[in-house]
Amino acid sequence: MTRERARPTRLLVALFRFVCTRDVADAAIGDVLEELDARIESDDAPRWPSAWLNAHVLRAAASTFVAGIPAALRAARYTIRDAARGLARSPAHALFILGIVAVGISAATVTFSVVDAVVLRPLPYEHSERIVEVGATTPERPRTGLTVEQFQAIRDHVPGLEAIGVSLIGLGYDVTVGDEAGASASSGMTAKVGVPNVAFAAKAAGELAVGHVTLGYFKVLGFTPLLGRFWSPDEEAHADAANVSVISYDFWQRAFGGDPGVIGREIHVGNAPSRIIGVLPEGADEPNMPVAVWQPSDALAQPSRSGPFGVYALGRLRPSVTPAQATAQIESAMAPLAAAHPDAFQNWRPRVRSWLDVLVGDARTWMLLLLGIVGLVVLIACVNAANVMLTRSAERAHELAIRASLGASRRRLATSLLCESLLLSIAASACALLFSTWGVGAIAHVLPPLFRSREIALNSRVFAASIAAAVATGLLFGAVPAWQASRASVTDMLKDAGTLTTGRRSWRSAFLVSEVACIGVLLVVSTLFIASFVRVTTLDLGFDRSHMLTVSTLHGYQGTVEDVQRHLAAIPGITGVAAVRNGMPPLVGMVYGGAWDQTIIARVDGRATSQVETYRVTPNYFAVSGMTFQRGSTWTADDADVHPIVIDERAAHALFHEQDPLGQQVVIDDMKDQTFRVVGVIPQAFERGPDVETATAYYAMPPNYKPSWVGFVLRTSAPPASLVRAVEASLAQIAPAPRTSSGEGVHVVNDAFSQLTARRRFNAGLMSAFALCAILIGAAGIYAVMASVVAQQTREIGVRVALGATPGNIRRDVLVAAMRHLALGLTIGLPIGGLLSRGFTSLFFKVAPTDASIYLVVAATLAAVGLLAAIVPAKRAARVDPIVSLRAS
Amino acid sequence: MATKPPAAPLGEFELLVLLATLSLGDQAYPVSIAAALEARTGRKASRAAVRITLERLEDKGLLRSWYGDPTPVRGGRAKRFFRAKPQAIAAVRQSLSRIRTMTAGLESLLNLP
Repeated sequence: MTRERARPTRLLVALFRFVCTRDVADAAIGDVLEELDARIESDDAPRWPSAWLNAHVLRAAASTFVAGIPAALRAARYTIRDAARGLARSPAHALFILGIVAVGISAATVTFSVVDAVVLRPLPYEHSERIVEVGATTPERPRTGLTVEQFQAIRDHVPGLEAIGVSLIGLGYDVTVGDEAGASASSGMTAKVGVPNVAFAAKAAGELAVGHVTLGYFKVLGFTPLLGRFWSPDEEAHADAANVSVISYDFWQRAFGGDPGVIGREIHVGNAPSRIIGVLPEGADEPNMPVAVWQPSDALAQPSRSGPFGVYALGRLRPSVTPAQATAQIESAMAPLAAAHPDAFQNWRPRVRSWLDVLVGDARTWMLLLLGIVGLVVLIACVNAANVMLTRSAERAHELAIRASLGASRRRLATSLLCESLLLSIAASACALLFSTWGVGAIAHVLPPLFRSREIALNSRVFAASIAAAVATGLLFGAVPAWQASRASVTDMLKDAGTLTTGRRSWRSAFLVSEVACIGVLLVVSTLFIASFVRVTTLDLGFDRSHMLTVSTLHGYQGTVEDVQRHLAAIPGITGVAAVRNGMPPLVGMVYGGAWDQTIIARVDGRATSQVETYRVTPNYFAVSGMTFQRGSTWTADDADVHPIVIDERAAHALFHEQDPLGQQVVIDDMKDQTFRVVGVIPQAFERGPDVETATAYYAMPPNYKPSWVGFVLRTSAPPASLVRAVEASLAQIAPAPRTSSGEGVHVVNDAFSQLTARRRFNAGLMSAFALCAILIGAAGIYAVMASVVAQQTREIGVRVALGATPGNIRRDVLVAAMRHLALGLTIGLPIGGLLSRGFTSLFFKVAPTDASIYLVVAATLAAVGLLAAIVPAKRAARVDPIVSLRAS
Repeated sequence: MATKPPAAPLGEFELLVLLATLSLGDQAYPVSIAAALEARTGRKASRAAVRITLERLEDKGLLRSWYGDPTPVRGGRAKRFFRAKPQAIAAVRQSLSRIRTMTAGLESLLNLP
């Protein structure tokens, strides 16, 4: 019986042939086969001959590869030298490719530095991937807090959580450190006085962040004290009596000069004295907010609250426990509570999410989209560079043919061309890093507020990504030209020197079409972003945001609203002052902090109701805000006895449909003893910003409140920013109390609008830049390809002219060839762009990926750019002299 | 004119491989050389190590190689034969001479003839 001979796997043979020459590999494999046969004949056969054979072939290939490294390095030196000489022979081509690839890699490097800092980089804690936010979710509120009982049940009965704690830093807690009360309260050793660095003390009289946390929080983040200790559970349970603080390393260094005797010293947080019991090590901090002082939180000792005012806990999962498993364990732990309070747990679900995801929020989607778009820019640059390399390799066919006839192997020629591409891409990457140092600084200034946006920088991760991008782009745009150049026969190369072979022409067409397709995709997405921004900024908000100032909440003023109005109206440049209560003045509430009252409005007959936001305003509010009336008008002093009310068009439609709302009577849920009569209808006013969905609104006379609860809207005749100081100075005369929160003070409404639309502005700006880059690269690509087509078909054009073709025919043919590529590219690119955009509809505003006008704009732009780029080569073709071209050939 | 030996002296394994190549004449290829080394010195050398050494000696200009005809016993793959060039003989002579020089006077200690 003959036994079947063992064979090495094809993959292994191919691998072996790749690391050396085919003959050397085959001879070595033959040696292994011979040895195997000898062992089988001498009854010393391996147990698994096939495995033995493959293992020995692999070993032979590995040893050949390792042994060849020094020789390869020696050869690489010459390869690099040859490649550099090849590039130097055609500096224009080299600079062209260098430029477009550098632009692409610069854009990618800057974008990656942003995305890496904001989204990709892990949190700076040990095994930070196990840190999760533990909260709850209901159909009404996707993210909401826990009650204290729920927190305690999770802490005590969920085995998948290693630790769990509570922190109130996320809510923003700023206090002053070292006030005058503290200084005078003790004998020169407290707070401001006790701080040895006087300059710092003056600075610290501003605002420092204070964290109120439970002990579990430190455990979750893996903090241990550098000096002293954390507070005890007993001190945590009686936080007010204990008055203890742990300070951050940075605060310790800056305020106490790193004094090791700081433990036991006293500081004042606000007016409350506190004893320092510990110092945290360097770097132990919140991820996005430097916290100076940490104090025990009494959140768990407070009466339990639910919903958004409940407890948001931070937990650390045990190794190998997933958030889904922890969620299931929390549901089990809640069973006793749910049985006791079935109503509270109806539709209630625990919510366990990675803390990084919570902090990054919805920025992740658009950041990753940006990264994808910039990847497209790099791809366009690569395809363009590949096309130029392909054209250039055709022009160098003669040189390559001579090298081949002198014995250069196919692999050697391909390596040489690939090396040129890599050299170019590495040089482009170096240039890109230089551009990026400027670009990262510039982008930090225009970025909207984002998590960790202060940490955006060119670091080792960005550097490594840039080098990887350089190598990848070099391989990408060098592979096809190298492969094409190496596979042609010497005879063909000598014969067709200076012209493109059929294979190269196909590749060149494919490259141009795919380049146009990529630009089409990019333009569709960018146009959607730009259109969204344009529609946000041109949306009729229902009020006039130009020349408008707002004043929020005056503390310590005892006069009437009318007094304040008169006082502010006396400022030169102020033409009108109105007051608003319950709701916030337009736009500023969303930016600087605010609250809105919602209630239910109903027809007096109860046949229709609508949820409304309440605005109690002075009658001139509409005129000062620039609101126009669709029907009726504002009220006058004579209307006071009938409780006049103005509603917006949506409330009017919801309550009265097609009926005339003027004169109709309505009641409001929280004031059922009064009946209101509709005196006016205004269009919808986007008081919280253009892209914030709100309930309908009603406007009614304000009750006689103190000015401390009222906001004011000021119409100005001069630029509003120039009047801010005058208004602040005027207010200081009547209400000298200091600001107590950042939401208060004098604000320019247009500034608030800019902040509300900052992300859209950034997106639109960045997308415009990307689109411009892509269009320029695309135009250069079309020009380069058509110019090379004309240059290489000079003889053919000469013959056609000799046979009677007119310059107009020649010009038209070149333009038609360019348009054919454009049309094919757009046919592929536009639908892909549309499909891609559908995944990001939440980022667009009042424009949909199905909007045909977007595609028309993109197609028209690209067609115009393509035609412009092809005109010069077309004119050149039309000027071909048949005698000159035929004589030259 | 005497053939000049290579500048770099031979290593011990290189010397053994060269001597085996010389002794096998036209039948020197990695498998036969590895077998000869094992038979005559008792030293078990891997075929891959022998092949890499032969290639290194070829790079040093001491050997030349050529491919034989494909044989069925090797799966239709050719043998790569190696033959010593005159420089190889000079190199072997120089290595042996160094050994002799260093062992002079140590015959009784090393129990050499």
